[in-house]
Amino acid sequence: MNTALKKEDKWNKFKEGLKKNSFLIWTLLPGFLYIIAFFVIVAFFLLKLSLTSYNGGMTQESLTIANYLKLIESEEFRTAFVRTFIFVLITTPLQLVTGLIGAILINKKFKFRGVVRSILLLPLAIPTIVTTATLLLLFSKGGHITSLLMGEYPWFPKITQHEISFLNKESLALGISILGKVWRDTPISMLILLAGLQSISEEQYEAAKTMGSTTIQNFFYITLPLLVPSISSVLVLRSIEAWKEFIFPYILAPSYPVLGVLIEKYYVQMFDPGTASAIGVILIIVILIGTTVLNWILKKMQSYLVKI
Amino acid sequence: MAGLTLKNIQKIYPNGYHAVKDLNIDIKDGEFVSLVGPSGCGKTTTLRMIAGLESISGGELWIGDKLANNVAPKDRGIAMVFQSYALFPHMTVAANIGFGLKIKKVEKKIINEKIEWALDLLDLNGLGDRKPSQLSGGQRQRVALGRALVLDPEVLLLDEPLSNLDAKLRIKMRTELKRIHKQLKSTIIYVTHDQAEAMTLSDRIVVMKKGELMQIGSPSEVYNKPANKFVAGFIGSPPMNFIEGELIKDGENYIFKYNGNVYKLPSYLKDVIKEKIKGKEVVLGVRPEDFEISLQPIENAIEGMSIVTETLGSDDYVAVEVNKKLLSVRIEPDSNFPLDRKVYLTPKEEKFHIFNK
Repeated sequence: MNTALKKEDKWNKFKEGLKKNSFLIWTLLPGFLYIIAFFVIVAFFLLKLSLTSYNGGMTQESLTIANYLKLIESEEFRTAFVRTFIFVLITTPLQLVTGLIGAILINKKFKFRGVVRSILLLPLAIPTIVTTATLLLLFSKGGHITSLLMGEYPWFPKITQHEISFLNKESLALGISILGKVWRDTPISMLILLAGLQSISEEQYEAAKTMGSTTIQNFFYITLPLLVPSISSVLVLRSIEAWKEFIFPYILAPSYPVLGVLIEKYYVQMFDPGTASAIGVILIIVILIGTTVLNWILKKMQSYLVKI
Repeated sequence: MAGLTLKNIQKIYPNGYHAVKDLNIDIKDGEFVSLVGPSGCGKTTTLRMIAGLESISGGELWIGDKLANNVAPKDRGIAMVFQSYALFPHMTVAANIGFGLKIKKVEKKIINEKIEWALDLLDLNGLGDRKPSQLSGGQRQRVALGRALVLDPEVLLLDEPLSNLDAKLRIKMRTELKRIHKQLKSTIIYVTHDQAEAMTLSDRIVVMKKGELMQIGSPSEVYNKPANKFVAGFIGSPPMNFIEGELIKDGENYIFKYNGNVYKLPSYLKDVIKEKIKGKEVVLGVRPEDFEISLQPIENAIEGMSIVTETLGSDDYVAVEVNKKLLSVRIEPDSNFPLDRKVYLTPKEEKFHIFNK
C-alpha cells in the first residue's frame, strides 16, 4: 500500500515536471529527433553492415570482423589509405593558404572589392561535376593542355614532342584532383577566415604599431593567434572533406582510388556492402583521431605564439 | 622626457575634410596637457598625428629637439593608450604589458622586471596570468596604461582613457592618473570631451572646436578668463549663463540693452569692450555662482522670475526666467528659496564676461 502510494507520488511528480518544462521539451525535440534519425540510426546500421560479410551479394555471416581483417590484408586498401592520407596532407594546408591569401586580399579596402569578392566566390557557384568535366577536357588524352604543349596552337611555343598522359600517371592524376578540390573549396576557407580577420579590431594593430611592431610581427603575434579559432575551423572542416573526397579522384584518377572511391568500388562494382561499410567506419575513426590531434596541435601553437 | 611643439599643424583628409586647422601648441617637459572639445573638434586626430598613426598634412611637429613629422611611431618616443584599450585578447596581462619590450628585443629578465614594476605601480599584483576578458573595466584600463608605461615614453598619449568606465571608477582613476603623473613626471597629452576631467587633471587645457584652437591656458585661466563664448559655455558645470542683447555707448561707459530692458555695464568692462568687441550685438556671460540674487528691488539689476530650484546636495540652483530664457543661479543650500517671485540679479565684481555674438 505504502509503496503503491510512493509510486503514484513519483508518477505525479514526473508529470508535473513534464508540464513545467513542456516548452523546453518541445523546442529540444526536433534536434533530438534529428540526431536520432540522421546520426544514431545511420551510424548503427553502418556499423551493423560493416560487421556483416557478403559473398557475391548474398549475406554470408553477421557479427563478424571478417571485413576488417580482409581490408587489413588487402594491398589495395593500404595503398588507398596512404594515398588518401597524402591527399589530406596536401589539400588541407593548401586550402588554408589559398583561403588566407584570398581573405587578406578582400579584407583590404580597394576599388572593385565587391567584384573581386564575387569572382573569388565563383568556384562555389559552379557545380562540381562541371568543374571535373572541365578538368577532364583540359587534361585527358588529346585534351587542350596536351595540344597546347605539343604546339598545336600557333600562339604557344612547342614544348614537347610526345603526348603527356596526365591522367595515367598517379602523381599527376592525383595532383590534378587536388588542384580541382582546392580550387573549388577555397571560397569556403576564405569566408571563414575573412570573418575571423574582420573580428580583429584595427586599434590592436595601431597599438602594436606605436610599439614598433612590423607588419610581419603583427601577423605572427596578433593576426595568427587571433585567427586560430577560424584556422582550426578551416583545418577541421577541410580535412574531414579531404578524407572523404570522392568526386574529383573518381573522375580524374579512377585507376588510383582513394578511400572514398574504394567504397564506391566495393559497394557498386563488387556487390560487397559489408566491406564498403567497414571502410566507412575506419574513415570515421580516422577522422575523429585526426581532428583531435589537429586541435591539440593548434592549441600548442597558439600558446607558443603568445608567450612573453 | 621631452617637451613637444606643434607648429601650424594641419590635417586635411583625402576627401577634402579639414580636420585640424593651423594648430600651435607648446608643451613643456613633464607637463600634463588636456585637449578638450566636443566630438569632431579634431582632438583625437591631433593626438593620432602626434603618435604617428595619422600623417601630418602641414606644419611641424617637434618632439624634444627632433622634427618628428616623418619619424616612424616607434622612434618618436611616445606611447599611446587607446579609448577601447586595444588590449590583445589572446595574451595574458603580463604578455600584454611586455609586448612592446618583446618587440624591441629587450632581455627577458628585464622584461619580467618591468612587468612586475608596472603590475605593482598600477595595483594589479597577482593578475599577471589573467586574460583581459577576465578583468574588470578599471583593471583593463590599468593594463593598457601599464603597457604604455613600461616603454618609458618621453610623451604619454591618452585618448579618452576613462570614457568607458562608470562614473565612480572614473573619478578614482582620475586621482590614480594624477598620482602616476606625479610619480613618473612624464609629459602627458590627454584627450577628453569631459571638461571636468580636463579641469581636475591638467596643468594646462587646450580647448578646440571644429579643428581650430579656441584657447590654451591653465584650468583657472580658461575658467575665469574664457577667450570666447564657446570656451565660456564649454568649460564649467552647470554652464555659464548667456544673455543676448545690444551694446549702446553712453558717454564714457556702456549700456547693455536686452528685450526692452537696460543694464548699465560696470566701468571695468570698458577696456575689454574696446579690445574684443566688434559691432553692437553682444552676449553677456555670468557663471551661476557669480550672481547675487535679491528679492528686494535693486537699482541697475537684471530682473527675472524665480521658476524652480534644483538641489545637488552641496549646492542649490534656482532657475530664473529672464527674457524667456532660464538662467541658473547658485544659492545657499537648504535656503527654501521662494518661487514665482520677481528677483533681481547683479553679477559680482570682475565676474562679468562679454563676448561677440
